[in-house]
Amino acid sequence: MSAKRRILIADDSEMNREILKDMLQDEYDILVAENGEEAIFAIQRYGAEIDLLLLDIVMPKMDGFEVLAHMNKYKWTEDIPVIMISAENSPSAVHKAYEMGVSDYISRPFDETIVHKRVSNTIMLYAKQKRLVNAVTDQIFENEKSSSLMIAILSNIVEFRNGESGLHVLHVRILTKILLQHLLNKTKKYPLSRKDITLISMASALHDIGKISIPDEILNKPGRFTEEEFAIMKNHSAIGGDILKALPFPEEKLIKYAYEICRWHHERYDGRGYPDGLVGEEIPIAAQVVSIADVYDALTSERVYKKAFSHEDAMRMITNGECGSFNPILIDCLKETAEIYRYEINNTVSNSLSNKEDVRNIVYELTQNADLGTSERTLESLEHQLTKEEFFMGLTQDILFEYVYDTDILTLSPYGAKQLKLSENTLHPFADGKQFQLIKESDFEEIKRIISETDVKSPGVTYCCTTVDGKKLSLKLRTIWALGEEDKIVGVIGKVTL
Amino acid sequence: MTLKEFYSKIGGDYDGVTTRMCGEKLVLKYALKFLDDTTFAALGEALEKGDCDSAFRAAHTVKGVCLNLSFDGLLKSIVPLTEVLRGGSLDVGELYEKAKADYGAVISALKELKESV
Repeated sequence: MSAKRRILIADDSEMNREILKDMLQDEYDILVAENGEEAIFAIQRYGAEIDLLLLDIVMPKMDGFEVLAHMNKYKWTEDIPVIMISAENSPSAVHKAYEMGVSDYISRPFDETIVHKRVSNTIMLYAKQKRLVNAVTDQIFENEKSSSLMIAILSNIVEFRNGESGLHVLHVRILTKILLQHLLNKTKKYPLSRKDITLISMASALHDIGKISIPDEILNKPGRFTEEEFAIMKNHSAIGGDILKALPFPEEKLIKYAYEICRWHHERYDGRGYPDGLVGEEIPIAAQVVSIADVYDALTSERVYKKAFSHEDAMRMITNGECGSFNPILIDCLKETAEIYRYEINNTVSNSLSNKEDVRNIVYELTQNADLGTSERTLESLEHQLTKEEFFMGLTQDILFEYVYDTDILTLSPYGAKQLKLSENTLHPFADGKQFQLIKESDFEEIKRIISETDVKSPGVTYCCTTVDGKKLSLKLRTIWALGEEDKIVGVIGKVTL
Repeated sequence: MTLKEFYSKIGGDYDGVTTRMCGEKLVLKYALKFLDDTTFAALGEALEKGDCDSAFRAAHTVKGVCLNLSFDGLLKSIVPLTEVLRGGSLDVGELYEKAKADYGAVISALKELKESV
């Protein structure tokens, strides 16, 4: 990115805007807003092209906190860091700002150097995060494409027998996703993550998979069903569930959701559905949502046995209970998201089952709740190793040492330090020739030579000599290696016996 | 009148503000700009109209400027004024008169400064 980073300054005082602009305009593109409302408009216009928002609290029309609330509602704070700038220094204001998600708080008076540094730090931090999220997203997206494709193919095959195009599956998937997203904003009653939403939407494609077992004549009968025919038709939900149960992946969330949806998407909220007559919240939310999505799409699409109803008529029939009985919250969600749904189906070009936006949201959620699993375990076991080492070093009645080339630090066991009258850790241990108080120069050179002659396969050597004051000294050491294109000695550990 | 003299006249921290703004140039620029700043007048108008919210915002803005430019004399009187207004009360007669006097002092010192620039 060779273009300058962009900063939006929101402050009602022209003087403050000017001061900040002066401080920053050499390095950054500056946009200004005089009040909260203008700030919101600017963000709506430029979106994530804004790299940082400098936000004042006290402003007319919409104050800083209201701007933050708005940004949180639409999740803009994930892409745009906010630094609060205010003459308000009270702890309560600062705490409130932090709670609402600002990255930093700079109070007045402004110090140019400090402002500069904090601005650039915050921008860099966010830039790094964005890059990481994008890199991981690309990876995951590529990997997921083929499984999404597989599901798309499968569901189209099923739909093909009905004489329907793949549009029904697509519509149900989109509507399911939209309803779930809206539901999560409305209530905390259903604890679903964004990943769950993606999985449920994916799984919704399989809701009629049981129809594969229904004979053609019944499946495509243009007239009314007889009682027997209807009974056979109703079986498709149970059969679909059975198909999924037979799969060898019982623990996979996708399969669990698909099972719930398949078996129970014809249940009714009032308990008069099939196959199990579940009532109210006994019906898993995944099945509830796909159920209403399925009905809505059936009503508003053209079929062999009926014309398409309008949105208003469909809503009326659903609300009146003419087309099944549903959870009232979901009926509200359907009403409230109608426009979004219309927009998305008219603008979805591809039939791909997970788009990049969804994947990116999942990755972002991961970084927020980082349970980094493997790397954490590695760090943990490293810590254990270090604890053990420290403990044994403390116990030993030997002079043990470790020398690392890179850092030029010599570490001795506590006993060793006492014996040799040195500190436990010494930086640049050989800089002033202190070792020659103990051993002769010729011995030191010889030790260096035999160290250089070790290799990865035989890293250990022993060396005996006499100290400067005539005592016998025996040195047992082992070289430590970094393995790569060329193996390299990075350190030496050993024991000194006097 | 030098900038340093200006600050000693109105009671401000010359060293502090020039360090923060990395030199005299910006300080001078913004101090003189304050001559054209209408916020204090807006404060007076809002008080006359009985508009507590606007008065508070205006006072708060002036407070911010004083902090940035180290107009410490005016700062001392504007702060209590701001706090009373924040609480929703318009009972600021005395406080406002004091602030007005300090504001006047800053303005006349600024005019002097402007002549010598």
